Parts: sequence; C-alpha cells; structure tokens
Amino acid sequence: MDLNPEGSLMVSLDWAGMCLFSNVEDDRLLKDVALGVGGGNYHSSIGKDKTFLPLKRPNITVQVESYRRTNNVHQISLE
Amino acid sequence: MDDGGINTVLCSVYNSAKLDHYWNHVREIPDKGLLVSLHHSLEKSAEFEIYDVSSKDIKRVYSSDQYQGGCFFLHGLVEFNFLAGCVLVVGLGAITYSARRNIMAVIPLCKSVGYHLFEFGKDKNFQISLLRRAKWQSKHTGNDPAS
Repeated sequence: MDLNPEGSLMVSLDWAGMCLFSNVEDDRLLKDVALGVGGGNYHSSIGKDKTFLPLKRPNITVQVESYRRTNNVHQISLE
Repeated sequence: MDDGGINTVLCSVYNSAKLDHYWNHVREIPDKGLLVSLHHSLEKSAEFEIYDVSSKDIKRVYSSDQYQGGCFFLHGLVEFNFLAGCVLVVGLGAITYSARRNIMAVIPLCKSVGYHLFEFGKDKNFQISLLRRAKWQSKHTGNDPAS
C-alpha cells in the first residue's frame, strides 16, 4: 500500500492483483484495477492458469499521474 | 472446540508445514529524525517500534501494541485434502507515510481492517496517536488466486 504525497489517496494491491484506490478520509473506493499480477512479495500468478512466478518483489508499480481534489483518479499508468 | 481453539490448531498445523513467513520493514521518517521498524509474522501478529535517530544516542520512543486478527482461508491446501480453515493473518506488511499530513499507515488485518492510520504530533516532542482503522475493501480478497 502507498499514500500519495498529499496523504489523501491510498493505493493498495493484494495478492490477487487487485489494485484499489481509496479516499483516506472516508475509505470510499474511487477506482479498482485488476492488474492480473499479484502484489504479494512472496509469489504471484498470472491470470487463472495457476502459473507461479516466484517474485520476491513484483516488478510492477502503479503510478497515479494525477489526482484531483474532486477525487477522480483519471489517469493511471503501469511500469 | 471453540473457534479460538480451532484457529490455534490450524495455525499450529500451518506453521508445522513450514509455510510461516516473517517480514521486517524499516522506514525513515526523515523530517522527524525517526525510524519505524515494523515486524510482520504473516499468520500471527504484527507490531512496530519507533526509534529517534536524530542524534548519536539512538533511543526507542514508541512500541506499538501487538496486532492480531484477520482471516485467511486456506483454500489452496483444500485441493490436497490437507487442510481447510481460517487463520489469523496480518499480511506481509508495508509502511507508507505522508510528510504533508504527518500520517502513517501500517498493519492490515485481512478481511477486517484495511490499515491502521497513525498521526505524528507536530511538536518537537514525540507524539503518535491512532487516528482510525480503515475499512477493509471488499474487493480485496486477500487470497492468492493461484492456490
């Protein structure tokens, strides 16, 4: 999980590869993105084919390009 | 056997299967001269300590409670008719901090608490307080889909 610099947005990623953006003030879910690659530090998987990828650190990051005060996450890029 | 007893047994079996994981995380809070040391035992508990590293005389200024909880369904092992059940899970852990708001988020409790949000005091004297427990987002299963 990670906070944006303003401390208003929480980004969290679970083992199932579900990336969620929520409002820190009230936990309101703003956006969900299914990445298909798990966020667990131990192992991960791709899709539903049960293929294990031993990833100590997933080489995937989620960047929020901008975050308006209107609480709209309107651009997300993956690296 | 009550639920607590069942969970204890499940944890014991889970641990004996050598599937337990321990993770330590360290994060500097540079603007305050602090160091946060977070320890997660995946299926047991999590706790953190904060050290004042602003001088050569490093000292511990805070020790958190021990957090236990969360529920992780061991469906992956069901396929092998080995075990099915729910164990306490605090996850592998992460520390995130916002310097602008002096807030730190740590320690999720699977299917219960998204994270614990702490606030650092703005005074020179060290202060920290638990602001609130964030809601667990239902779209986070907490489970590994490959298992």
